[in-house]
Amino acid sequence: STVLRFADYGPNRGVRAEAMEWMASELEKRSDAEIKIDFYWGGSLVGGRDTLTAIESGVADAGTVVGFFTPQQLQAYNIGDLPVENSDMWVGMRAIHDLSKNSETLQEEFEKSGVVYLTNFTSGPVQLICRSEVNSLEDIKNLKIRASGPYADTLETLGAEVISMSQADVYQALDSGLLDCNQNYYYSIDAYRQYEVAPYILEMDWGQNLSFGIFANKFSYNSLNEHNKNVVNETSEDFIDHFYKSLKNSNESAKRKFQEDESINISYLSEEDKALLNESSKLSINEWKGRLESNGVDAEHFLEEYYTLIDNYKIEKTKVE
Amino acid sequence: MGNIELNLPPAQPNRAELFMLNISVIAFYGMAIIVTTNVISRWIGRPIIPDDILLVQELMVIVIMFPLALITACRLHISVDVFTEGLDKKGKKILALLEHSVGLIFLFLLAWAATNGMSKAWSTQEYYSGVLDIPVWIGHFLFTIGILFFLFRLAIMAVYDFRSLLRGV
Amino acid sequence: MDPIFLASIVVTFVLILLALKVPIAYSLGSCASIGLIVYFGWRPGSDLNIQSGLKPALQLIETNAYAFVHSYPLSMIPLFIGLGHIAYHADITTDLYKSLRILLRKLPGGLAIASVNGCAGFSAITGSSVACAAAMGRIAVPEMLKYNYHPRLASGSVAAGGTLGSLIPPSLLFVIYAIFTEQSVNNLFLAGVVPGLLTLVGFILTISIWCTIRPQDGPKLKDDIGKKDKIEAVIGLWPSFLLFFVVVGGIYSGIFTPTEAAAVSLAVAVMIGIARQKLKLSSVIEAGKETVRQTAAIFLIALAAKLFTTFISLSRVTPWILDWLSSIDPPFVVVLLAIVVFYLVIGMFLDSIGILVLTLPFTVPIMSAYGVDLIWFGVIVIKLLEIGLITPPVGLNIFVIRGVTPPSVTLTSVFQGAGAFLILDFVVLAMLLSFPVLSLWLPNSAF
Ligand code: NA
Ligand code: NA
Repeated sequence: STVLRFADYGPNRGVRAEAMEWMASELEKRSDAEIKIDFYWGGSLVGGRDTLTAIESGVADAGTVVGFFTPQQLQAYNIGDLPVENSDMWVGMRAIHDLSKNSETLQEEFEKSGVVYLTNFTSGPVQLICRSEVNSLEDIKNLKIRASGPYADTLETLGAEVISMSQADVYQALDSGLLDCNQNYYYSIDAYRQYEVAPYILEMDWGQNLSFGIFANKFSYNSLNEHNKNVVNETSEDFIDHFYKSLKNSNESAKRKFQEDESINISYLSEEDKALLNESSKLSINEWKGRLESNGVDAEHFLEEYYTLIDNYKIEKTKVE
Repeated sequence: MGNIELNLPPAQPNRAELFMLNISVIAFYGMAIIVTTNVISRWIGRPIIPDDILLVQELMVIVIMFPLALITACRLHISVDVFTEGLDKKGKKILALLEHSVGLIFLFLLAWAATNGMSKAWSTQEYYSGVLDIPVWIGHFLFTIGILFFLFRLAIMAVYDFRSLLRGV
Repeated sequence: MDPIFLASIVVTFVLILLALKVPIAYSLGSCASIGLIVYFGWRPGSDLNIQSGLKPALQLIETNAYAFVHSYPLSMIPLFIGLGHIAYHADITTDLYKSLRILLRKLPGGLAIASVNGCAGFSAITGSSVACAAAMGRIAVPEMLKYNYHPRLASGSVAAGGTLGSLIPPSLLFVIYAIFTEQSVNNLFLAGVVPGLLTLVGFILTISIWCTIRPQDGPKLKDDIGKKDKIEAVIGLWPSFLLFFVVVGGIYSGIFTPTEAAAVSLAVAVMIGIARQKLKLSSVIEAGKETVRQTAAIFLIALAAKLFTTFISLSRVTPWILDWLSSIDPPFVVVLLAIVVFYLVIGMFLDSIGILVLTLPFTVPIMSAYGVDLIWFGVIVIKLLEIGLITPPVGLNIFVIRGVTPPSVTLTSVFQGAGAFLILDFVVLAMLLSFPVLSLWLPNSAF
């Protein structure tokens, strides 16, 4: 049997870890125990920033890759982090999965990085958690917000003061008032317990981080026999539905918990504000497009492919439901 | 460390090593200035130095790696001397040779690894997302420089101590 | 080769090299690097193939060594070492200890007690044990030596005092533990308070007993002190107090983070020095040189320890030991004691954060299966990691103290000095294990 080293930057708890454990047990079951996974949690093998390189060089056979860390090597895959109008988790994951499997641009990019794309995560839609009451985009003006990537750029154009800070400092910074708000997601607000020090949640349901997937070492993947390659491919595809269901559950139960807790306040963005948010997001989308085009990629066409997939899956989802 | 320091005198750091020490001092105060400036400007209004966390990370590489050659020359590496205190001079020189050999193995592998890492960072042209989009290779380059000078000094020390052992001084 | 077998060979080699006075960084670094090459090049059931092991091994060495150095949170350590040097050159520490000596003249070991309390105060600020030892080692040890304190007492009390850093909140280790166990950070912080204070009181008692048995180790002030001297002594405290209040006030009012506090306190110390006309440009440069030399020596060890941790992680010794432990299905007390011993042993070699991410995925499920309160277990684990900072052969706090003090303080004397405090640490640990209420009372009564 083959034992594969899997590197993940996060803890072995929570919804992501459970989904990965599920994937490992499915792989073992479906391959008749020919594929086994050894997890290295919490960056105990390599940190999140270095996972792509670690997979390429064979330090890890597979691992969780966050595209934000490699804006150059995974420039096109960073399409998943753009704040496009797409906050449905299933639609988003399906779209980026199909794009990663089929688009030539991405296939070339992964080939160049020496890795094989297996499947995708999502952070879920972006929310804001704050120390004081925040109900609208007007309210975030001049607030000190920790945010990242294109979301940070957009918040900045909306008048917020974006602060960079290491994740380890965030809890204390929210507590002391150094930060007013943090960009976060329902399940992770719960996991990191930031509601203890910042009891106001603004539900923005804004885009999601989809440049966030599971990749494998090319050699390790190619060493599998045809049957086991199929097992890996099928399990990877099923992973999306499985992860979607458990993430949806944990987001909902986190939200329910916050709603029931009287000390925590959830407010919702108005329709006008949502429109304004999406309008402002276009700036950072265009900036990404510019970078891609300067590297000779037809960004317009690539983005079209992505939008088409999103629209198709939106329709498919309404059919299923 | 006490005893061997009394027996084996530190070597005189060369100009390059003294220069690198000075650069490291500048980088050290640079970190303090960047962070303090941003704390004050953030308190009054907005932080004025972009990508402060990323800049501090780059400076950390200089602060840590650049003095390594010099502290090797001055024999400032920390070791456990409980079991070897009773040895005579000759015994201590033999231990010093063991020390250099083990050090050379580590430093050779580390230098090899660092050179690979630097060329990889160069070939991918990766950068840290931010206002300045700092290229990743810069830090890896500085890291490699620090290690190469360290390795070079360690080799000199090994030759120096080996000769002195042969001379039986 | 079987990774467990490989790991035991590598650990044996490290111990032999350390005993032969090979520098700690070289011993750990060379053994870890060769261990990694063999691990990747000699898969179980195949022949040794160095060539195929080199690429991943070198990649991993570079990645993890570089990531360790290229770190924003760790910038706190050089900055706090620098604070110690600037405070010394600006006469802030000299004045502080001159005053303390007069004010605490009747207390045996008074300066050591003041230093341990200083560590506790420092812990409340930084959340990092090593940063705490780095600054206090530079500030307190030379001053105590000046007043004829024994090097063992002077260095041991600060090495031990530094370990309060992670138990007294805020604490980075508790934050990491919270993430891995989905526990409340607030509750963990609260749970650390009583054990932290208990340890502090224990350290003070240790010093008092030490100085009662050997009064010459922490001499009292014999001369008569006039009223004028006493008033001057109180006035002499102001620069240190100003520094302390700027830093504490700044953190708790949200002006800066604990990481930033290191840089801000350095800047404040420079300004105090200039305002009192005690700091010249040449001494600022000299302080900088001492700082970076010591930083480099300390980080080289920590970097090598990081590589060693990576190797141990790959060898999967941790799950192997714990799997074996749960397979024999012993009574809870045996499991708990085995886990305590396990943490003490790996605490001898590895760095604290490394230990947490390496072990928690395996120890927490075992504890959960027995229905253990994970807040209490968190306090126990952090206490064990703190103990690991002052146990031989790899005690990072000891190396830090050794690195920032004059050569007359040998590594052996720091270990010996810390040994006395280690005994007390075990007493406190036994109390925490026997009476979970010591940890849980505060978090449970908070709601
Ligand atoms: Na603390
Ligand atoms: Na230790």
